[in-house]
Amino acid sequence: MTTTLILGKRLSFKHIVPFLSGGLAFLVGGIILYAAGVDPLEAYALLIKGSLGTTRAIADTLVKTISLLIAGLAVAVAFKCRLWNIGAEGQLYMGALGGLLVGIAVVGMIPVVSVIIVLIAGIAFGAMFSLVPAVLKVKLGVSEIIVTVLLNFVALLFISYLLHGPIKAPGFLPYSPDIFPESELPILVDRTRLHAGLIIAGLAAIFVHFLWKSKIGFELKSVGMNISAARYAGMNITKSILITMAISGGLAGLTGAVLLAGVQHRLIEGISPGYGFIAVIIALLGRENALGVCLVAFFFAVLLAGSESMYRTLGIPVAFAQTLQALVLVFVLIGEVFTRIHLPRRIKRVNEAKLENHGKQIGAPAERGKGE
Amino acid sequence: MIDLIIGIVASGIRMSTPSLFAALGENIAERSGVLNLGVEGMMLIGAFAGFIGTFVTGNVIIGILFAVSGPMVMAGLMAFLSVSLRTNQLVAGLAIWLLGVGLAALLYRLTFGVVTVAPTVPTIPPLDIPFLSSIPVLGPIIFHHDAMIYLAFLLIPLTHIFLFKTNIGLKIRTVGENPKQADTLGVNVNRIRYISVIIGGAFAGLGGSYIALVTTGSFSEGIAAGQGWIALAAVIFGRWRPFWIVLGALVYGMVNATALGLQSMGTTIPFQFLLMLPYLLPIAILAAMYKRSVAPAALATPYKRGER
Repeated sequence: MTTTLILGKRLSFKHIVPFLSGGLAFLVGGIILYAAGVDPLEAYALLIKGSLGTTRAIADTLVKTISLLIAGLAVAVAFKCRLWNIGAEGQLYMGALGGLLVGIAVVGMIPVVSVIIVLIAGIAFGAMFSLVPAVLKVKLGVSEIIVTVLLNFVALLFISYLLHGPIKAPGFLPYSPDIFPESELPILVDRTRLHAGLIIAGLAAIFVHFLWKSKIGFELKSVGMNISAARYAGMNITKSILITMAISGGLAGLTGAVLLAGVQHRLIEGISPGYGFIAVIIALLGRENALGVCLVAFFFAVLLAGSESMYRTLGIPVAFAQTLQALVLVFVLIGEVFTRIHLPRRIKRVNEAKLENHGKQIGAPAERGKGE
Repeated sequence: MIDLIIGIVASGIRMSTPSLFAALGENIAERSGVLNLGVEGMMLIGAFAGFIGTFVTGNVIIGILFAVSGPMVMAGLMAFLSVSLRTNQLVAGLAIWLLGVGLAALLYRLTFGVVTVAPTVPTIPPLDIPFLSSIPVLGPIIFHHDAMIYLAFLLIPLTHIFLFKTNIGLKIRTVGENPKQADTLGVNVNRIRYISVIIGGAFAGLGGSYIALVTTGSFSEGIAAGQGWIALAAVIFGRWRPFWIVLGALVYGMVNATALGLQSMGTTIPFQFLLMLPYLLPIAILAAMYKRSVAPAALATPYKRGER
């Protein structure tokens, strides 16, 4: 009886903490704005109005959600298996490139088929690019963190080279030619920019959700969580790492292909304003599961869309959104401590015994805070 | 031709300095068992703080003090997260990185707004060392640099002595190898880790300020260009030994300088491929080196008293 009460109490507290932490991040953000001579309340009102105020604003927010969601899932898949793929940005660009190459070459297909081919090309290019760090990891034991980060720069420079040379469209600016109209993702709601990528993003989330429930997903997770136990259970470590990275890079590539087919319709150097990096925070805050990533991606899209209207009206730099996102992560990390206050197992058992014996509620043991 | 080579080598040394500073500091943090992935973010904060400090006061020394203290605060946060709260160090480091990237850009834009011409500060001029700078070849390569480079190269033996010849260095290394044993011997594990991480922050700040105050004389959002990550690679390459870390940073700088040298000579290789080299080479080196490197045993593991 008492135990369930305590458990229920602790569970609800655990769920409130992330929101409190987010609120604290906004408080700190507000202080920064106030120090810069901006009324924080006015700014935050604009943030909501600019992202959710009108149909058009909501559509734009959803368009951003699409990219953040797929990219967030990409990073979450890797992180869940304890593969630190920080290279989603580069994989995204390679995916956009793959989509472009198909989108400007394949013509005369039924539109649906054409779009699907573009997206598959995006997935393939992203996955292939992510296999570079994966192979280096399994063959030579090189940590994937630094390699994936550095490959972002390589990918961006490579795209820059292509856009200034081989795939440059006639004209002054470094743009690629447009993809054929039948390769574009159709617009879902008239007079907005909301495109069918929303459905793709939803499918991606469902895919990741069921991946973790599947046998393969379980194996991938197990390898990440405890490599020696997984090896003992007869799992193929190398294969698991390669598959995980390919799924992660494939989803990042899909993000790029969707951006290409849904928003830009051509490749440009700034096709992603750092979605692959924001995805790192989204994956961590979403606790690496599909639903969590969906929620955080939408929340961050609100921040991004809102920060654009804050910039237009009050001149608050767009970097404010980025700072706020990182602050939310920092505060959630701090807040997590309060959710995982668990007593050392032995003491807990003693306490539970006492509880049963005396029916008394036991507070924190006296030992806490004494050491260290 | 010889002039060109001298020029490339000298500029290679200059280009390796930011990541050299950062890597020497990160090495101290990692030696204590804390892997701080936030180097890039701390360098950006250092670059911004150094720039704004110099811009406002007109005094480059005050600017550098700003540049050192900003990242020290960030490093303090890193230590709080990873040492006191025992957050996963990789996650905490990524948070510090992204916070630094966002905050540096935000503060810069809040201070200067959107400007057509980026504000600048005079860069720190090179300093000729009397007599030595007139030695042919060696003079212009080694003895014709700004004061910060000399500081960087002074810090190489100093960090070596600090880590391997002093009492606190021994404590840092013990904490990084076997925190439990260190604790048993009466070493305050958490305090040592805090100190090491914060020293790492100060060094990253020096590296960041070098970019803003010597290389460019201005600040922009992507100014660190991955040099914080290069520093992390240099630490692995150098097998956590200051004198080898220098080599890692120098290789990066030399490749960068050679790429830019080739570009100015008007080669037919597209410049983007040349610019890729400084990022590809560390990957290749890590691939060749990784198996032979031995990281501090307790790297990236939080320490909690009373646990196995």
